Amino acid sequence: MSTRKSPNLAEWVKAAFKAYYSRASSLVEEPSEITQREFAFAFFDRPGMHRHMVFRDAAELRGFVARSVPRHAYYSSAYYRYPDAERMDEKVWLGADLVFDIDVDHIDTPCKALHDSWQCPKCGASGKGFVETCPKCGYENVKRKTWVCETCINVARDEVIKLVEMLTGDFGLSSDEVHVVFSGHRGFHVHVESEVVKELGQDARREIADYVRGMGLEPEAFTVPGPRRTLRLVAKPEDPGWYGRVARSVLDWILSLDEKSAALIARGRRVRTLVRLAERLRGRAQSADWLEEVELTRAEWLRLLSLVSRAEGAHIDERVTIDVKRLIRLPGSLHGKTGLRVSRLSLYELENVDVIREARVFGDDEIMINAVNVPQKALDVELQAKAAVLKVPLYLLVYLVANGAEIGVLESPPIRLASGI
Amino acid sequence: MSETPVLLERLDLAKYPFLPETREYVRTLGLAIEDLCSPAGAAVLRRARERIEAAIERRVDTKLDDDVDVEILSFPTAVLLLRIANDRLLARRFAVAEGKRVSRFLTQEPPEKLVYVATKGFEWRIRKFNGRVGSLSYDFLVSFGDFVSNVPEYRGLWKLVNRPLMRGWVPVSAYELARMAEEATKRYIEGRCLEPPPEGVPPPIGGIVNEIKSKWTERMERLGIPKASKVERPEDAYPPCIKAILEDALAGKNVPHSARFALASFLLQIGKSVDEVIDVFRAAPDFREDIARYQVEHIAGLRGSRTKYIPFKCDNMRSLGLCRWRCKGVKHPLQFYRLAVGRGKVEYEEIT
Repeated sequence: MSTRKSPNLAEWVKAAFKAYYSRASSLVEEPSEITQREFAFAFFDRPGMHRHMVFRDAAELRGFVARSVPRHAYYSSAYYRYPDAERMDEKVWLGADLVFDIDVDHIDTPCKALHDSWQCPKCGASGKGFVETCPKCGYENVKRKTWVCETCINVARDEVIKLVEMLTGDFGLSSDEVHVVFSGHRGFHVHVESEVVKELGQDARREIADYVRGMGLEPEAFTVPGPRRTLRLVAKPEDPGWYGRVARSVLDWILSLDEKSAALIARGRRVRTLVRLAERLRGRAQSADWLEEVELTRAEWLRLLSLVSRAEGAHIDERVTIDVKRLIRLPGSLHGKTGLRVSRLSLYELENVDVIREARVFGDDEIMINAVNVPQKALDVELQAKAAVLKVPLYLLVYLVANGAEIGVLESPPIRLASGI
Repeated sequence: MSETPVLLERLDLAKYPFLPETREYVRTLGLAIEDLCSPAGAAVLRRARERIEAAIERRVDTKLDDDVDVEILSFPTAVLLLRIANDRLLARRFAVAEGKRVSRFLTQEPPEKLVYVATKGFEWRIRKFNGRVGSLSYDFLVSFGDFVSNVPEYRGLWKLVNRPLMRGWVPVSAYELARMAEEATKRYIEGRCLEPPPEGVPPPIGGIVNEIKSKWTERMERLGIPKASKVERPEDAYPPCIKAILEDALAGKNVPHSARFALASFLLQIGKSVDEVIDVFRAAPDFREDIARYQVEHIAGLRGSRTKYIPFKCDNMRSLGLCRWRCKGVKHPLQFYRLAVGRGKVEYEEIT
């Protein structure tokens, strides 16, 4: 068995995609207002992105993907009068869905030590897990090899739930205006389709992005001047929006406040003062006027509010939300790096289904492979990374090959779709 | 809450040019461009010009001409003159002044009238609300989309995150609603002034437009962005965000793409050459002269869309994580630079 990446496996992945699109192109969902959307595709055997495509209806779109077997498929979050115009200014923008992107790429999840690795091109150091910069020489452009597993997806899912609660609670959007889509790779997209947001400009969208992240919380909003240049909290736990979030976080903070956590926001003698204040409040039965005695300096409030936003805000990639002309993955298409289906999930499914199981389109027949440098965990499978010969389910083999693992097989594996596809 | 009957007077049409009633009334008066050259049109033309000149001088002209029809017609006439002038900055200046005028009128109105003007004029969704949240009391609720599209700035209490957002509704005071109307008026007027100029402009009108433009040019020359080559130690006038990116770039740190764009567009705007800007990035770990040149030339407007890009405004720098300062009275890095060159100093503090 060869350990070199076998070229016929790349062909096999392409054939697997073809099998999916021939059998199940009906799973490819047409976006609303399909004639006003731009479509874009990347293919297996041609470089670059093919853009500015338009379709009259779902049937035409499905026929196209079944024939051309795209590696990646996208549509515009924007609505255009002339979506097929090649210059952006000729398309005539009519509006756009509000899109949120949640991706575990920049969140340090506990599982990354099991499947991610890095190498520094400058000093040659390498290691497992997630690093921002080379821990040895400080170089910032380290090369990363990343994989996704169910733990990553659960971390992202928790962020999505936080986001959806804000959209349906604070923003009062209805659950049929908020669509959650698993991206097929390392996260989720949340699309808001509503007349309320359709025509919002970039600045307005940035405000909404900042809101869900808790960016820009200012002490003056939640406090009034107190004694000795302090600011006293006036927000209450039952208040709407960030007023309530701030008040509830302050309550939790006091309940567990000790020297260590006080030192995160206070300096010098103030640390003791805050701990004494917390002890005094905790000695009393909890009541509404508890919070009114929380008096902090402005600098302390700023540090506390930044802790609150980190804990309570949704970790979205704000650039995606601000952009009013974004291409996003087409639900029902396959992600070219994983072979997982870009899957729309109802709010119920988001909380209750196994996302990987939902997004798997290939079978779980066991295949013997010969591999080096595979991750210890990928999708929902734990692997014996040290073993030379491994048994893996077929859908995982698609992922390993599509994401560039070095794999050899004795004979070409079968192509089988998951049951129900 | 538009059930409360509101009676508009003719004077209201002079105050609020964006109301459908006003536009309908102007249509019935049927003023044509040629009429402006007639003796009857002279008063309208004079008043229109007065409103534009007040804007150029940064005055808010809240005068109402004794002849209400003249006052009403002077607005579309001013817009017409500005369409012919075809100058984006002048249009904005006029829009700003007229927005303030509208806001001053609105703050004197009873609540029903204020709501009527905002809902009819801008199609906002507004509800009556008398309540307190935190330490503040409010008069109305507006839909969050209307709020974030019409706030005058994105900080302090105008920032959505610092408002008690209630199932899509944002509480505001009457004063704040009038202030939002100012922003909406500004945008409405700017949009109208940027419509293409009409055909067949009579020569006397063209002459008046030229006089307005030369007055504007004279004013602008005193306010432009000072060229770096004409300033002693221009680096001292850079805003802290740009200074920080510049230091990182010169130290060979890997600066994110957005920061590179901000730095390059800033330096180009203050008159640095493409080569000078490329030199700044030479220490970058992934520096390649051909790529850097291509990108810098693109930002300088020498390639592609031929747009000379300007750096992100402060709000966007903050969202991108490139700003951790609060600069007094500054909304844009270039504004900081202009003020710093002019006054020698701009106050700012670092937000921890």
